[in-house]
Amino acid sequence: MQRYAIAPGAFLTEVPGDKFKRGKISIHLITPGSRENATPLALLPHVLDRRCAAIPDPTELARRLFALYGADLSSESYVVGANRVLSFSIAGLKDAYALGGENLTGQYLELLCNILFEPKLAAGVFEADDVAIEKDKQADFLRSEMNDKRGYCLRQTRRKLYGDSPLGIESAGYLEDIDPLTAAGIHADYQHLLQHAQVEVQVCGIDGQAAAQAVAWRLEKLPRTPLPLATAPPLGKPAEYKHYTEPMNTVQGKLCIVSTGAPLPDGKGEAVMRIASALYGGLPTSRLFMNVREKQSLCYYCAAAYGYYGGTLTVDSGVEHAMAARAAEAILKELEALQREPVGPEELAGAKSYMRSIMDAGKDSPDVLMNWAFNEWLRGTNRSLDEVLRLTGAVTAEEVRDALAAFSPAVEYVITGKEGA
Amino acid sequence: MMDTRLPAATEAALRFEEQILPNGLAVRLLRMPDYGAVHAIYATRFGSINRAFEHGGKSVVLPAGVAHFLEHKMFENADGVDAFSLYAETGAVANAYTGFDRTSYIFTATNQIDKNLDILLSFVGHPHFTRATVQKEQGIIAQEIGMYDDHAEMRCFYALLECLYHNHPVRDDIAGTVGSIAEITPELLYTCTDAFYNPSNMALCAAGNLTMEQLLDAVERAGLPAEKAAPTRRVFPEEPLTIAEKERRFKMAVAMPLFALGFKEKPVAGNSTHTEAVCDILGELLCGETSRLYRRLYDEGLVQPGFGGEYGHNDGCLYHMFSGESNQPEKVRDAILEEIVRQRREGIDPRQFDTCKRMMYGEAVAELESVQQVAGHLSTSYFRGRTPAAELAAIADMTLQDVEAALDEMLNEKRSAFVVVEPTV
Repeated sequence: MQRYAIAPGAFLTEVPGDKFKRGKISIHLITPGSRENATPLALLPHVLDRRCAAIPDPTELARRLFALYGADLSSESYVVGANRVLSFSIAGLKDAYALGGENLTGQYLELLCNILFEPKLAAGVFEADDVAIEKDKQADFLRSEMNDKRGYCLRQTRRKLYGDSPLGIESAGYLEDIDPLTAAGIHADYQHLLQHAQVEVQVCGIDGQAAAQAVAWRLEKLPRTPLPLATAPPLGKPAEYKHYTEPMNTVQGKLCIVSTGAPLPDGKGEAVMRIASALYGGLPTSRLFMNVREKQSLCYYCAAAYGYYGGTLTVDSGVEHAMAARAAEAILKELEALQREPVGPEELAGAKSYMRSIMDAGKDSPDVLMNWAFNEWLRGTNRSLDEVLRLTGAVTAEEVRDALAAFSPAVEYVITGKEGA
Repeated sequence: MMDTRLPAATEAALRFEEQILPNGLAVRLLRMPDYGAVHAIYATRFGSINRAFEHGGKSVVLPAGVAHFLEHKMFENADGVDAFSLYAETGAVANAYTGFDRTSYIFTATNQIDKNLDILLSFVGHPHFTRATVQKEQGIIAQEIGMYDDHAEMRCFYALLECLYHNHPVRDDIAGTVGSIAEITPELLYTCTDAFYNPSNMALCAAGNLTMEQLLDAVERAGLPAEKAAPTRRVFPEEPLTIAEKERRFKMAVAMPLFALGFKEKPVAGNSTHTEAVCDILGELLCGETSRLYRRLYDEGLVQPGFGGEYGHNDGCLYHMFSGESNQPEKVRDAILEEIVRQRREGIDPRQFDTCKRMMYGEAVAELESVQQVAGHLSTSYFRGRTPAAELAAIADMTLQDVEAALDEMLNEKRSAFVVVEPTV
């Protein structure tokens, strides 16, 4: 994997992709996150990927992508730690698979750059219709979040945990901030982003030099003064364990418990947490699965995930309404057991073996390879998958116990039945 | 128009090995030597719609949800050690899933491939059920059913199938109901494994860095029956071409109404490759992103991202479904019905047809990139009696006239049903 500068505050990473059938290019723009820029920057990718100056008709853009054998143009806006990332990607068949011997990869590059750098404008700002349509869509999307009960419970837990802190900015923005947005305002945010964002370009199975030239040429035309990435400390130990319930007309209840207290990990610390969260609730043989679901039948699913930036350990579970309290107690009891005693050698070996499979298999996916490289850069660690695999293999049972001992429950959020049962 | 000759790279990517063993087991492999992982699928042609059959001189009728229940129970071995614990020693990522027409047991692994194949073939080949474990599983699956009961899209989908079909078991949830799974006994499960979990009804498909020799050696070690089992005759109830119910509405905890518009089609007997390609492209032509209708509905705020058309095909049933979220579902229904009539009258846009064909080709080739998708493709195509290459050929050979003829026959408003899930508040 090679990473090199292509312009001030802009780098390109070439991810090996000879064995894949498709090529992929991603352009990530990274800027410090804030409540003020959350909603306009959440909306921006949807405005941009509707059309561009070269293809001003959205249906024609869709047809163009289909003619390129269904090339997949995607864009998204999301929060990573204290920063906001806007990612624009295109993936499609390599030239060898084209039915007429066409040069496809060159067309992908041109199309992606047109979408990001050459938008369809009217009187120097975005088309008012584009902004109005996508404002409505974003508002509908935010209103619909309760449709997915599991995701909703997780998001509510996150909101209660972070409150107004920089780590709590919403990826999809805020419903109440949508209405005042204007075409001119979002266009100003777009220009600000192009001028001040860090730019990371990634290619996999596509000529890196051509991508570097195409992006650098467009960046050179801008008055670029990239801002450094924002940082925010993890949450630390909670002052108290807060409980929330929300009644909803559901058959199955949802229970989410988030614990905090872990520091930002050093080199090996993250490998330890990967193994620790797998042992707790990330494996088909995890403590939560085997003891809370299989032995006690307290839930249907029960999974744990580690959050790097906030230093969090989140468990989410689908429970019968009447069992929620018992399930919560059992989930925390399993954490306490792991905080007291080191796991046995077989259990530890199983978790390491599972993690090795997941990470090794990731080398067979362009998306995993590209995401891995990007996240390592965001964290400033820049390690290869193999380096982390080596660290994971060296994790000890005592390190797992000590890492988990840092956590204390901070927030519990339960979606109960309609009567609050 | 799209050139129908496949590039050499595509032909090479489609090349797989196949052996049908004397006991009837199909073994398929697509070698991907540059890959680190192997994905294997051991699947049986037994899914939720196989609710009645004749085997060994006996007629059997099953309650809804048995195939899915069996999938859960197969992971338990006679010695009390479940298959997940065995996989934990090798680090393989294992799972299973049940569909309408088959049940699949899978693993992805990057090492100890032979051992993982042994685990897979062993636990699926040696069922073990007791009254106590069946009873415990009834509790777990009841919770799973509860989770699905809250899933508005799934409820909308099954409500549509209930409206389209009078008797066909596709109208019942794959997991069954709390009531139907309560009828399941160990004896019933053994009856099903005897009938369907024998090699002549199964396929072992794999993709990745392994050889056919490894697969065949694993089959040999597993000690599967050497002879073909007595055949099982699947029985399906009579199903008229008429629909059961025109419209249904119900309420759930959702923020915006969900809708599904379905069309019941004449089922295909025999090879369905061509019909499936035609059904696939019809949905795209009518209301996919390359259609003018999609853009109009999207920009007028009548549909959300995710709106689109698809088809479903299984033994004895074929249907189209258009679904999504909308604050005005009736307007969307009417617009789709009008668009069907318009395209019948004016004909399909040849340029849009060609771009959609190119997209379908691109999607099919892109699927050859991951070991999971390749193995899945080998398995699906085997149970449908074809090869991945035949599916690509069906796309390439499909003509505008084929699709226009299908449009005249299919998507008949008289055989359509409409379901709306309304918000509780």
